[in-house]
Amino acid sequence: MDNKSATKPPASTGDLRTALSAFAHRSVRPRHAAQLVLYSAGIALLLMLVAAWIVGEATSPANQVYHYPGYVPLPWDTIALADIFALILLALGLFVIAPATVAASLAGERRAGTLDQLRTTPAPPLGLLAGVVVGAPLRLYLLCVGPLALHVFATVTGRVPPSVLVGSLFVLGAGAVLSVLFGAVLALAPQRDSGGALLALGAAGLSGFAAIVTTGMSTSSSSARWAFLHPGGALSSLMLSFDGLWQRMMLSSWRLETLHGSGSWSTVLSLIPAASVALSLVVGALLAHAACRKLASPERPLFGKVSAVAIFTVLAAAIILPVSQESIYSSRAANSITLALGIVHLPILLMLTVFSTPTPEAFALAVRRGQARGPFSDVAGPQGAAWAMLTIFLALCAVSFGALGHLLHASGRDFVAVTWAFTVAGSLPLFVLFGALRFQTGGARAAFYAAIFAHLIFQMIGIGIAREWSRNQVELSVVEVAGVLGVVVPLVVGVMLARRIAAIRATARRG
Amino acid sequence: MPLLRCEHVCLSYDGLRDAVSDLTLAVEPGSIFALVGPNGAGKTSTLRMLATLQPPTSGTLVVDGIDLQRDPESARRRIGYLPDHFALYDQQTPVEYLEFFARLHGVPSKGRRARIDALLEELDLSEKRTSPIRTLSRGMRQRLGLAKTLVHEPKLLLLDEPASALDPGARIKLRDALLRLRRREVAVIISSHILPDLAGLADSVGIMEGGRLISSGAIEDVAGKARGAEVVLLVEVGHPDRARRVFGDFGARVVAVEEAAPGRFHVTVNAPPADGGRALEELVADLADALVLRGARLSHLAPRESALEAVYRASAASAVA
Repeated sequence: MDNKSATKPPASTGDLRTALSAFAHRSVRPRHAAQLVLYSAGIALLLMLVAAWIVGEATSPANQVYHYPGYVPLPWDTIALADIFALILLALGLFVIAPATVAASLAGERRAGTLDQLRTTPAPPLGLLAGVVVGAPLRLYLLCVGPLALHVFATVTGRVPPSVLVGSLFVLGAGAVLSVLFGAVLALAPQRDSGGALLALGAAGLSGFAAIVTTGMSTSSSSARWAFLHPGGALSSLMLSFDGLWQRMMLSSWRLETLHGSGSWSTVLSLIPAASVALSLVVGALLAHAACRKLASPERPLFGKVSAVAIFTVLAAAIILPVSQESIYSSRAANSITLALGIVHLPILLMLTVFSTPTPEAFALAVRRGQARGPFSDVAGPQGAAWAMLTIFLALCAVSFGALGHLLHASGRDFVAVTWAFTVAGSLPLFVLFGALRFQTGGARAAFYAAIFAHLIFQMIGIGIAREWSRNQVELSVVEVAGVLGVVVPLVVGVMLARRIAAIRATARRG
Repeated sequence: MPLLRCEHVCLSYDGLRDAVSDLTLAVEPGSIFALVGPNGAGKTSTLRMLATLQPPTSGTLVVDGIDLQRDPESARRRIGYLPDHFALYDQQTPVEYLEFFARLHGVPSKGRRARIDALLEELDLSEKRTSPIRTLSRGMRQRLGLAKTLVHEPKLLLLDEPASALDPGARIKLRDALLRLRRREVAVIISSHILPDLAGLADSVGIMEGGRLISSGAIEDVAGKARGAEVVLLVEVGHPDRARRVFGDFGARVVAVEEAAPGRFHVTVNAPPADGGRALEELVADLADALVLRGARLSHLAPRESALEAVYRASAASAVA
């Protein structure tokens, strides 16, 4: 314990490397790393054996059944099938299990208090984040080596084009980065410590669901343009882009004809990997920024207002801009799409609003100290950011398919429905801020949000019926009640919120 | 030049109440500063701010010339923090655990293992160096936590109730380790309720109450202010009659005498707290000389409570009031 040999201050890249090395070393010792790589080779071998068995069974004369005339048999091949298994396993590991591992690990560190110990080291927040997202699933990464080698082997033996190998490596890498950062953000998002298992399940469930949906999207000419929203869909698009076993397995004969006949689907499929990598890296960078912020100052909300708006903009652009002009055959259709997109964006807006809202203590401290609160500061209410997101949504709809023009040319009912929907969405930050300031426990807040959710569902029903041309008396009553509630509920909550803020100010004056 | 400088530091979580209010103090290198006060006094909040875990609402915190808010990462290289309740990575061994934190602190690989071994040896954990942490006793875990805070050789050590889980033997070892650190010019801020442990250890003390540092300075000065002029001495003698006569000879300097048991007296003396308690020291010396000279067979003579206990009792009493 000689105090003279104090630690030298390394540069920031050195800090990052130091943190990565520390976490990696903590997770897997070098001799265990070699062991895990050996296990991964065993997994690759197992995949080959299973594939060989399936191919053997599928091509066995004993198992041949009657096929319709013109049926083209699947091009069964052991290496090609093993390659598909390997990619599925890689996607499962990197996009589903890895974020769950990161979420569970980080939530565990928060609950145990060891995250605070890590925060007292000189490792910068980016170093800690990198350490956790690399270190926690390191065993998993090492187990992926074998399946990855199998994928390379399939390319070398001509089952997969080299361009697909390169593309899949980029998609897997960028997708893994996005997925583990998503897991980290999910664990850091709650203001107070929460269950690691629940968060892990949430991360795995959300990512897995998105992978399945986007993979399904990639197999249809009308929805393939959204397959890049999750790296799982991008991987599927890559595998669909060449005439191989995956293409034959996933596409029916008439879809195959469409794919080969129309250039647009093929073009979309070829663009998806690059779009997916770009989206993963941009969203990943924004999530990393949010996670670093939270690691540096846990008392601040997860997202800064500007970051929240940026994330919303990127996601909204990714969802709205690919809307095909062909689907806009009338103003009514355009307004229907605007409303449908609104429903898709509502949870995104709500989540970003909730996680950019300050804690009640921080908000109260700012109010009582008369601290200047610009609409985009950390201690400001979320309304500025939420309304900016709504404006961006409208702007993107206008750019993509001329939503505003269609709204102006729409019938009175359509106009009422769309403006009503935007008014409801615009009142959301009011509810979020009130929920944060009024309810101290997570349970009470969840109950309040459940009530607001019920209110929103009823508003959607009202808006849906309001658009209909013919309405009976019961439906008319529903619209009227929903309309009244649409005004009364935000008004009541607004009054209560104003009283709450006045009470906070009053305590400052008394103090 | 002080190693730690706090100037008008305030911490408020909600603007209603200050967890720490207008804290100003300085700690010199090679000194041990005891932070004393009842629960909720703001000791842990203060240590968390010093450990860069919680930014102050206002004020300045400087460690070794580094402003904690401007450059927390550099400051952390100079600070070791052991919180009150802390967790360890149970699946690791002590060596792995210390190596992980040594790496995070940028301890050079050359000499890292030697430093870890020395720490384990010093804190009596060598035998358990390769055992999983989950098998360690509470006291061992506490010592391992302390080893973690020392692994990067900090200049400022922040210890929040470090001895709470330690047995007497381990407390003595902790005390010896802290004294060794003091000799190496490490400044230590220690918050503890086990006052006898702090008594012979701390150079200076700060009394916190309701988020405020109500008094700070050398222990005897602060204790003098806290207990006032009257101090109760515990005197044990073989010949009580002779002792009674000695007490009578001291006149106004002995305020009251109570015989708690045969040969065991509680003697209240009047010793003004000026000059860092020198009056009390001189009075105790005079009394001891007289008792010995008069053949009272003196076996024990000391203040009934230590200076820190007096400080703590006074602060707790004012907190209740």
